[in-house]
Amino acid sequence: MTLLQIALSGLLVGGVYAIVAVGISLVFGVMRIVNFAHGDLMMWGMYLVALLFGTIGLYPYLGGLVAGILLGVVGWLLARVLLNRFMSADHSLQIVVTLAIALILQALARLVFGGDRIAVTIEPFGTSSIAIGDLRLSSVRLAAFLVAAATAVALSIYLKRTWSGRALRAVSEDPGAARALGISPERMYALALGLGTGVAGIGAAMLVTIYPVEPEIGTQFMLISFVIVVLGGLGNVVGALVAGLVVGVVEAVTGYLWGQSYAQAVVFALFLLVLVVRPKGLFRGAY
Amino acid sequence: MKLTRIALAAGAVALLAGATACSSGTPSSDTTTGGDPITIGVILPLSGNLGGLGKQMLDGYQVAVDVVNGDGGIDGRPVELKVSDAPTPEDAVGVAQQLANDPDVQIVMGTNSSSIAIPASEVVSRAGKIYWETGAAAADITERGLPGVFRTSPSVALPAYADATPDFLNDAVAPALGVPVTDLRMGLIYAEDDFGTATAKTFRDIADREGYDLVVDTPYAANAQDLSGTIGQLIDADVQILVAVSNITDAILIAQQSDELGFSPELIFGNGSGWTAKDTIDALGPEINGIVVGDAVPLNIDGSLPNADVSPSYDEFADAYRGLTGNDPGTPGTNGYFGAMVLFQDVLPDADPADPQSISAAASDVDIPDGGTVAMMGVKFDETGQNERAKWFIHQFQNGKPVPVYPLELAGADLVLPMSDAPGR
Repeated sequence: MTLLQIALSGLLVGGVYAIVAVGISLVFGVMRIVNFAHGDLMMWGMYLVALLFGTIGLYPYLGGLVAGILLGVVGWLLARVLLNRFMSADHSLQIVVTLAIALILQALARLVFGGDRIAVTIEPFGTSSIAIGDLRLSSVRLAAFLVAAATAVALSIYLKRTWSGRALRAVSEDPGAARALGISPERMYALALGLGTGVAGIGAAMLVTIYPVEPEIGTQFMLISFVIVVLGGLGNVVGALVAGLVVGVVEAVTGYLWGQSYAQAVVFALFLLVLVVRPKGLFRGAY
Repeated sequence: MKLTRIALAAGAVALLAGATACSSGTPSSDTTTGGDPITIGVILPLSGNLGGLGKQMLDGYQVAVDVVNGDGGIDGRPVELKVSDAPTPEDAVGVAQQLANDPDVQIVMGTNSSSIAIPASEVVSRAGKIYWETGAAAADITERGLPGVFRTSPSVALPAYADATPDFLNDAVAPALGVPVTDLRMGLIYAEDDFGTATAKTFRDIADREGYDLVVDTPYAANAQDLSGTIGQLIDADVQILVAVSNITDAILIAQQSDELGFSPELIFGNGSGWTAKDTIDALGPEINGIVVGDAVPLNIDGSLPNADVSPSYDEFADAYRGLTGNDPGTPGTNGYFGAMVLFQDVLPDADPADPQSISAAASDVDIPDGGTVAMMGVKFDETGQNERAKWFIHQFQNGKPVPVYPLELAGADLVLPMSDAPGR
């Protein structure tokens, strides 16, 4: 097996990481809040997609659209009802609030679904691969990679080219000045969180075809996602995509060359190195 | 305004505490019998990576409680479980301490995970109470010589475990493949936790002793989300027999990424109840067929094992388990039921349930011959508290069900190799 094959496999896994990280990065970029509940909202999205598939046979990638819309509404409501009250609060309080939401979501999932995992195997993908010469690309991971890339690029274009996107950026840079121009920061915060959690819903459909859903799966992706968000530049959605791909490749190649148990150590060493050399991440500036 | 924020923060902290506490310390009993209940503390991982396995073991306990209470309890006293969730070793220390301090609890049962069993057993033993392990396999659980610690399930240090693997490879795998086992290239991959590390060491010792050609020997992080690098190593080394010591998520990843990357060994030999978990079977679908799993109990799902003399029989247990859960009993459920029934049927009736010394003495006197339990194995505790009659069983998935293929005298079907030829794959 060539190093190229491993790097390619890692690149696709990086797409999976990126799809989680992009939403976190967007929310941080606008609200300056680290949303610890992002992974658990995604977990609920995974359950929703799995249930829609299991009960009415809705294809998971279509179920992802439903999950995206529903989670988007949930995110919007969370901001309007709860998080907007803490926008000027101390960061530690903001962390406790999002952590509390995360734990409540997990506890509710355990209550509703128990500890069992739900797996979604979709035809014709399953565990199949697409062969290009000697190289093999996992079908479901390739789909996740493509959706992550499309989502990050679409969000970036939206933020730069549309009125509401520019309004989000204005609020991010100076809420007071934005308000003076007639932009309601509270509405923009709700829009940002809705978009971020909506992306989590779409990501949920990608993840549930790869990993069985369980109440803790969101937490398992959060640590690596924070590393990716910081590496990519806090608030930079395209940076989160690129950093996710870098982390996926570094993990896979390290696992291949030196053993998988060293992979996380190498990723965190890279993380520390980037923090020292480029404290604002690989991509400076938001979006 | 400031006060409002403080109040909201306090509320958030209270919610945090509530969310954590809502899954711990839940009593569970059948109250059809009279008398004061006998309370058994239970520590299991009911959330987190190991939660699915822990839940199955709890279901096995619950079937045992239902059976015993349905028969009038122990000397007329119903059994109740006080259940605590311990997803991590750190949690295990906390909940073990709570149960050790509980005046109603003299016995703590669990844990199905070596990482959780090792700290939990130490806390309970130091408190002078009884620790009753029904599933975790690391040798250290009993080999530390802690007083009051008993284990009904096998230790990886038992000869029954150490002999089963080479015997299976020599007596079943070699004939099926038509080559001596020493001519086959083997790979060993394992989750880097207490169970994985201990089981891998035992297999490494076996490989040294038997002269196996072990061409890959590598751990992976137990929480890994990607094992493509590890699979790449196996492909490069042209591994023919893969021994994988895994929990659920990693077992699924290994099988799926092997398929995706085109790694198709003659045999995947999974160790650990992650390989027989319902979650794994559901996630892999037809790809589960052909995989061979070594585990602590026989899974007599096809009714082929001769255990009808045991009361309640395996079939009666399996029916009760299906009635409770809607699923066939897997390894943790069977192990939990077996271990709990030894305690309820063979120890507590001969002891004062309020006196750990008396319980310990009664446990030391247990002498059940081979074949005398639903798990086919006998029970006799050695001086460390290990059931020296515990055994190791090997199954192959055929048509979606684990079928016993070793020991050969208990085999419900022939081993089919290469695994790609297995029925249902």
